[in-house]
Amino acid sequence: MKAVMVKGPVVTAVVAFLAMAGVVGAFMSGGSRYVDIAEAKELGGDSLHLAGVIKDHKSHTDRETGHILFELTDKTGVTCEVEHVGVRPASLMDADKVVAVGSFHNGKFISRELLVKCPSKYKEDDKDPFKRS
Amino acid sequence: MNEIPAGTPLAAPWSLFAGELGKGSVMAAIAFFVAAFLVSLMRRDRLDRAGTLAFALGCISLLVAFGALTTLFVKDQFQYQYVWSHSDSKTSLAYKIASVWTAQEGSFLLWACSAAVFGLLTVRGTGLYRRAYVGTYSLFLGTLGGILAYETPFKIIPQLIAHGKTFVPPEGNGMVPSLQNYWVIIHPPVVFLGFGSLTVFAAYAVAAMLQGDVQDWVSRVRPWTLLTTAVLGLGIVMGGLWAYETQGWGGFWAWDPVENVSFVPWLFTVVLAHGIIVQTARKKWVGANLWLAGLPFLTFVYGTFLTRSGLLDKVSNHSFASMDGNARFILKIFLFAAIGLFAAVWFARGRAVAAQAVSDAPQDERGIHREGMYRYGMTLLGLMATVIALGMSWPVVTALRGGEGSAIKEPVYHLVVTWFFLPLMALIAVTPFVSWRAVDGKSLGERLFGVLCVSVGVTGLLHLVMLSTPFGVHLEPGATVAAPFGRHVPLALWMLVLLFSVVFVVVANLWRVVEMVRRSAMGTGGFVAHLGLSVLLGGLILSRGYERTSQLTIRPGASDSALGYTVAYKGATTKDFFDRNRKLEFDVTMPSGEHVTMLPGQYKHGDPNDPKVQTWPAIERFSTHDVYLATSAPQIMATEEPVAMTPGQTRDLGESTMLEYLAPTNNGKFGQMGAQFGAKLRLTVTDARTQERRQYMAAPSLEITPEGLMPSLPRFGPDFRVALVGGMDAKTQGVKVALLYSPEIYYVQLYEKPYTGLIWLGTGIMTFGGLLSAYARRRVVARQRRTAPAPRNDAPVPAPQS
Repeated sequence: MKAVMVKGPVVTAVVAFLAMAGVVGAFMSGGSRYVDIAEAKELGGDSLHLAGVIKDHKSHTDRETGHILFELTDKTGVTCEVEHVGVRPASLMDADKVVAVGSFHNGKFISRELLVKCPSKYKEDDKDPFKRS
Repeated sequence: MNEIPAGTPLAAPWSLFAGELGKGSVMAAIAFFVAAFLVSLMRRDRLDRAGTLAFALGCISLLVAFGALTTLFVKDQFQYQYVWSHSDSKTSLAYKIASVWTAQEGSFLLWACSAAVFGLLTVRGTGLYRRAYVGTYSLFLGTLGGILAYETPFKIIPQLIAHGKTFVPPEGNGMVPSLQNYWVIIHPPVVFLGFGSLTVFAAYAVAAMLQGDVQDWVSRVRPWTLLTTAVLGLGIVMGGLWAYETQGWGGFWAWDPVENVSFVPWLFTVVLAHGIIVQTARKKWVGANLWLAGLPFLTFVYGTFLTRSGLLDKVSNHSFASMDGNARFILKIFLFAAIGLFAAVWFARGRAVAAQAVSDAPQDERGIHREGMYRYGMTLLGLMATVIALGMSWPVVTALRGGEGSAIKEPVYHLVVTWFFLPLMALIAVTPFVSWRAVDGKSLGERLFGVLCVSVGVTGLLHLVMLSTPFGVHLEPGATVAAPFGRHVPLALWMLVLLFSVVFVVVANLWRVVEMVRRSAMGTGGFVAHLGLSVLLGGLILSRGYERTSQLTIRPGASDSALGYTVAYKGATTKDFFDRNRKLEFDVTMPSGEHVTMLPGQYKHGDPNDPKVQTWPAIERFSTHDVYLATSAPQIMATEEPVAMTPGQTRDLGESTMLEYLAPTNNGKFGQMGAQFGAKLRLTVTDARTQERRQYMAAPSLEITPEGLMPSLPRFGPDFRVALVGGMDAKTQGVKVALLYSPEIYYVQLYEKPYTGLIWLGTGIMTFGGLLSAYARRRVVARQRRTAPAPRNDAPVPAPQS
């Protein structure tokens, strides 16, 4: 009788443990790593998260394909070419930082997804209260 | 320091008083809460009334501070840093009020006020827990008051104070344009009302452990858990709708950390709401419920810390406040203190009391019974909440091992959450048919047979209807979704499975509603809420799974087609680029042939010399689907930067376009007023398909005028204009050539989102059901309190209800 009573919680605990182990495994294999350019080239794979800034705030759109082309400078100061083939972000020009998700092909980073970080809405510079920014 | 311009008005005395009142109210609130906390520590019966009074006064003081801040916003008192930074005089009253919570200090105040409101509402019904409840609640609100006193929104800009007088700048900085949407008025108050109410459960759990009675509190807290489930759930859905209507990526939910931070406490609240039902009926889950009451609050504080700490900066679409170091430190201490205190109370008191309470619980029955179903459901839901909490913390977890850290994205969440989702849906469908008294599988099967048959039939029918053209979803042939172990399954099959799970829940709960409604209409709230949840989930699943999207390239006067839609650009509604109501007008021809005008917003703001562009998507709603159209700023520059050239030079501009600088031109003397000099250029464009070459000539020039060099902007073939930038190098006659698209190019992202209407419908049904069950519970509690002063352990097992 005693055995029956503890069976439920034990089964629950084992199942819960296995579930969490599976989840951690999925996270470890499926998590998207943030990398700089050197790491991205070394790692390979098609879901690299390349973080950096758009060089000189300049980008260009190929008028035949509609792809956005720009140069991305990572935190180590290395620059590479990026071709963004996915959905266009609404405000690329205002971006502080971008994260391009994709992979390297022949030295060019092909990005499928572009996360744009705009200047923080909470940022309060010591601006002149008599001038509108 | 900046000089204050002459004629700047002085701040009105009342406005300075309002600021002082706000600041003073926060201080007063802290004092009242400290007093209430100390009184509760003294454990004197005759002082308890005073403690409760101090608590109530503290809550009211916070509300006064909120009122003062709102007044400053409404009356444009820009001498206050917080008001100046987030509001301006031109916005409407509703936006001025909403500005209060668009940044950190104000949202903390909103959180405190919402918790205060719930404190005032609940304190009367706390009975024997009053003393410990007031003490715990005061400790929390007092600490929050401390953060508010430190990060005060009532600070006057120091430069504005001169010779003992305070001046008011004429205009504020304004609300961030991307927030200027009606949802900013509705969503934050609702979601913060939910967050504030989480304190109630945590304070009750601590009070129950300290008081030593771990049974009675559940019936008191039960209506509040149901209310929170409804209100916070509504708030979260509103956040999704807000994202959909404004963000331009065509989705409701992206598993972004900010979204998860509100979702995890909600999931734990739902687990608690069910745990309380089990405890009420079977006197079990006593210890678990104490923890479950703490978890929504603790995970919310943890999430707040996570999102405000800057640790997730790269991961999220949201921009976060990096709080300043001191405030972050306070929040961190607050987080660890909250978790530490809760755990300490548990180990010191709660554990022993709970163990004793469980010892006289009835034994498990054999067979299938409602308690077992709840156990599975709560375990699954609790695990799912833990998984999501782990997912949102993953960047931090992995960063701790060194390196940049990694993030969990939508596909991984979907892959993982599915394992919890499908069994949970099955439980939500089956449990209403299982009673507390155990039954065997056969009789349950008989009970469910009809429901299953109807569900299979309805699913098949829906699938057929949806695949038929007029109502339909358009499946890309061969589309697949990622499945575990690196495999892929056909999208259509997977959607059929998900659709069945949704339909099964709807049919089963509707079945129970029909069975019960005549006996007890009030008792159907739970079923209605689950039904609504399922409809909502169905909307999310169908609109995401069957979504189609494509990018179009559109020039004025021309059109582009994709997904069976043809889109043409008609022009802007106004020539004023800085008009907030400026819209772009697109004529969209639907696959049915119907014409619709869609008006995505696009305007400039900020410094006129370096403006930023704000865009809003346009949504056209039909009964079966939404057409969603998002644009970005038009493309004008054809080259990244002006091309430097000298005479005779040829440059390849890419995309089969060659530019030649044939010869310099000039008219008049270099350096003389009215003189023109320029460059004769030739453009050669090769058609990518036909390989046909076309050549165009243009001679852009610069004229010396009293206002400086004025460039001409001649046409350069059908697609371009051209201008010279800067001057001409006198020695080499080199120029810089800017090639511009004329007309400009618009890039449009078009989405077709089927059955989004179900999201609105489901939200409505779910909220109604949740509020109904909270109200019904409240009446039960009130009745119990009237008839029996101590509804204790001898209460009969209630009738099955969800």
